[in-house]
Amino acid sequence: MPTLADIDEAKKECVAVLDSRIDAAQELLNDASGAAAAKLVGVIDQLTKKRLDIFTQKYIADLKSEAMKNALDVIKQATKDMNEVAQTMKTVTDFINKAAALLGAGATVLPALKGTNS
Amino acid sequence: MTYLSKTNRRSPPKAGPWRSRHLGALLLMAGATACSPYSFSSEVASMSNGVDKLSVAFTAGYDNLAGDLATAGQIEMVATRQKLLLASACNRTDVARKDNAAVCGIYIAGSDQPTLTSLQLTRAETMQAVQNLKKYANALAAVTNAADRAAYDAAVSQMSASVGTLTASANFAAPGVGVLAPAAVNIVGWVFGTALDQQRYDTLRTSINRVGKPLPDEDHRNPQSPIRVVTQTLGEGLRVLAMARMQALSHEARLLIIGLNDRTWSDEAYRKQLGDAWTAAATVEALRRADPEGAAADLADTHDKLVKAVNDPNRHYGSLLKALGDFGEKVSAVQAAMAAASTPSASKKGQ
Repeated sequence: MPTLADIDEAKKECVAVLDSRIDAAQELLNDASGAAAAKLVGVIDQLTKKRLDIFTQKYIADLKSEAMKNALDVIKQATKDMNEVAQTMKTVTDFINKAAALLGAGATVLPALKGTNS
Repeated sequence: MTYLSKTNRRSPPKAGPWRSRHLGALLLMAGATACSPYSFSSEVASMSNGVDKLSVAFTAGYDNLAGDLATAGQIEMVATRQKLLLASACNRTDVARKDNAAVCGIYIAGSDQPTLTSLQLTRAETMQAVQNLKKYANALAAVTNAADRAAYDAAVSQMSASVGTLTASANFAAPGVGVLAPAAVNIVGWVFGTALDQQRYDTLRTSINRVGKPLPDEDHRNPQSPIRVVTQTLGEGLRVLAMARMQALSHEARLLIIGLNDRTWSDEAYRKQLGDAWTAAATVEALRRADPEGAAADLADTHDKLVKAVNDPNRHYGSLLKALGDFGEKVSAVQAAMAAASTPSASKKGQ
């Protein structure tokens, strides 16, 4: 079974082969004109697309990998923990604000009630 | 911990007669809570800002890639003037699924119908991963947000004032209660606030350690900590996105240049087409110079420094600041390169 290093080496070789072909096509294009030039532009487009595809496939494999999934799970859990703790202080603050408002109202009402009773 | 925030240096509230008796005990408690989550407020905010820029770079990269591919296609059509057809996807008016590659577009008869590239199809999954990283950075910012502690202190102050007003009338029955009661509220509030700060700091430290460890060392320069796995993959994604844009833009520039070389042009039309080719080449050059993988690696490096700083602030705070500076610079350059659009007017191509 090929190792990751083997796959990486094979990828580099493929890219090197494509690069040399792209360079060769570009050299031909520099001396071409008309329909021949248009055709060579098409060839270079195909070769550069193949080159890009090698990198794209590697990225897709990494994006969908188990390692990426596990790493994102850890990050999501840490996010949840921090948000919960951050929220605690806000909840306590809200509670104190409400209690203070209630006491404030009490402080206003109490003297009035005392006045009525006396 | 000379740099630590004002919160750590915050004095206990005025406690009236209580103060002399209990100040020693309170100071001991304060000593136990020596580290403040708010010490890292601005650093975490900078990091969060950098992650936002990474996110914008991805969005701009995907959007501009679609634009680059469309422009290159139009230039080819104008240059070749072959029979054109409307793609069959345009007949499907139901909402396309995320994995549906078919595109409603125009294509040259005899060629394949337009589809999204395999890279374009990664958009939803990539943006989901970026979103998770953004939420993590936002949670770091939330748990280090000093404004929450200020709001808490204000609430305790308000509570103390209300208690003072309410108990003032009881002074005749229990002399001094009008002073003691609000002082007690202040002290309890302060102790409780300090405990909440400690809870935030502990969670900050635990979370950062879980996401950032193992740290790199002499033997393992690139350990697979969760943050490194994610930033490396996203850095790779940004690089491939930049490569895809460069591929489309270079194709566009080649088509424009062979057009310039093959026909007789009016000065104005020649200048226009040359300008378009030049713009495409300049955009390729900006993308070549941007360093998306470097920016992503700097984010991981900054996070490593944050791990060290929360564990041992005195020794590692300076290196955290330096890492933040490097990351900020690189990620801004990547964002600018990805956002650079090459939008020559296709209608003028091939004149």
